[in-house]
Amino acid sequence: MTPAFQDKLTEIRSRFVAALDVRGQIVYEAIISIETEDNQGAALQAAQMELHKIAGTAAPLGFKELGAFAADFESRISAQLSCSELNLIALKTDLLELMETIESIQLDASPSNWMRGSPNAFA
Amino acid sequence: MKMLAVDDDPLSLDLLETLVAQIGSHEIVKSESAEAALEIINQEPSGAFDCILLDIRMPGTDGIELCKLIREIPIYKRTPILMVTQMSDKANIDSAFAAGATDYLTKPFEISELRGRLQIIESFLEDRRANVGKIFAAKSLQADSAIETKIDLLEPVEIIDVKGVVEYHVLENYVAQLSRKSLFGSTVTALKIVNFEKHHQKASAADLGFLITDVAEAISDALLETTFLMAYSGNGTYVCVLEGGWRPDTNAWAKNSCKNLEKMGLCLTGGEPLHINLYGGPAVRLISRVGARAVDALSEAQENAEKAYEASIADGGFFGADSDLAFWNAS
Repeated sequence: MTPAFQDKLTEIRSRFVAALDVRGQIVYEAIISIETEDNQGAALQAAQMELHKIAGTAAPLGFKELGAFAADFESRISAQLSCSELNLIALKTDLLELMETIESIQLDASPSNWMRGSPNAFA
Repeated sequence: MKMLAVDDDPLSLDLLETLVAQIGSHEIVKSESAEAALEIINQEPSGAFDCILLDIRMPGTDGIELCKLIREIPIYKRTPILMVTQMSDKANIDSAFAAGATDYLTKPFEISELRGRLQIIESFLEDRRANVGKIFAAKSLQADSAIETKIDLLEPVEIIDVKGVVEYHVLENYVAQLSRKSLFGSTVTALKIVNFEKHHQKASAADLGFLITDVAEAISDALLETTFLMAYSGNGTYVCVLEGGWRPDTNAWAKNSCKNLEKMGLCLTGGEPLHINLYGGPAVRLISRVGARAVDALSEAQENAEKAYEASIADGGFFGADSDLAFWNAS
């Protein structure tokens, strides 16, 4: 791995962590709005789209756990979309876990921390 | 290679660009939507991109729809399209290949996987440059039969504009992707043109092109109710990966294909009628086959068709559309 490549990955990783706040918030608002919105399908699809983005880049940037969870959460929303009745408790439980995972990443986001465990797949 | 990468997530695009730069001296142009990608394609010089990388899940036009739209642009009909996506279910894999994808890479991936796929695409492009002109197109051939070089007997050729028909290496990529994702519900089977060697000897280069393309159309039309992907593998053989099917009825498929051919009324350039019979062998199930063994199923299906033909000759007959036609050209 060249230093330039490493630097670029570090920069993308920092942007990913910074963007998690907004992305988490979009998922949060979509799930919470289900209780009040008429168009629950559209809200769930908005949440799915954001989870899909998180899942696509999290693992290569070293956040395998977040990536796997976001992918699972996205799949569970797909399953719910095909059900006649939504399981709000299950959705909120997943949402809570997503928020906690994001918070723990943001607390632990300094380059000195993430480089310790050689987290990325590109070494 | 000059590549166009399309993904609605700018971070994902930047990551892909960084990885591609690490792999080799490639140029990558990024687009965050299908609509913007089509604009870029139209603005760039014709055929500017050697390869296109597409995410599937995007707002508006998704990657599969974009793949179809790109394939409608004549200069990009054969450009390698690699789907780079998190969608790993069979429905998306099937739809992507049916839309014209060349290969499929599931996120998250290792950089070695991306390197491997791009190397395959590069070597494929080199091979293609060496084989310009050996493409058979259902539509363009009707208007322009200027095929001057006859293909070799065993040579796989590319047939375009026939539903469900892809290049042989794309069929291999498809089976490999099903295997990677442990999606084993498909079966592989092959149909072979009876006495293809004789047809090959007798027909002109253009007639051979018509023959191979028309048979592909007849076989494809006989499978309309089924999800499938098929390729011409050379030597008059068509290999097909069929969705599901405990025991696909190859016999009925061959018969229906032959009926379609009879309706088409094939003939050589001089007007001599061309009667084509097909035969097939037992299907090979992909269940529990991983890696190279899954791709080997394609060869096994071809061997099965060959063995079935030899066995039927020994028994004194083979199946085709019409028993009266049997052996019309077998002697």
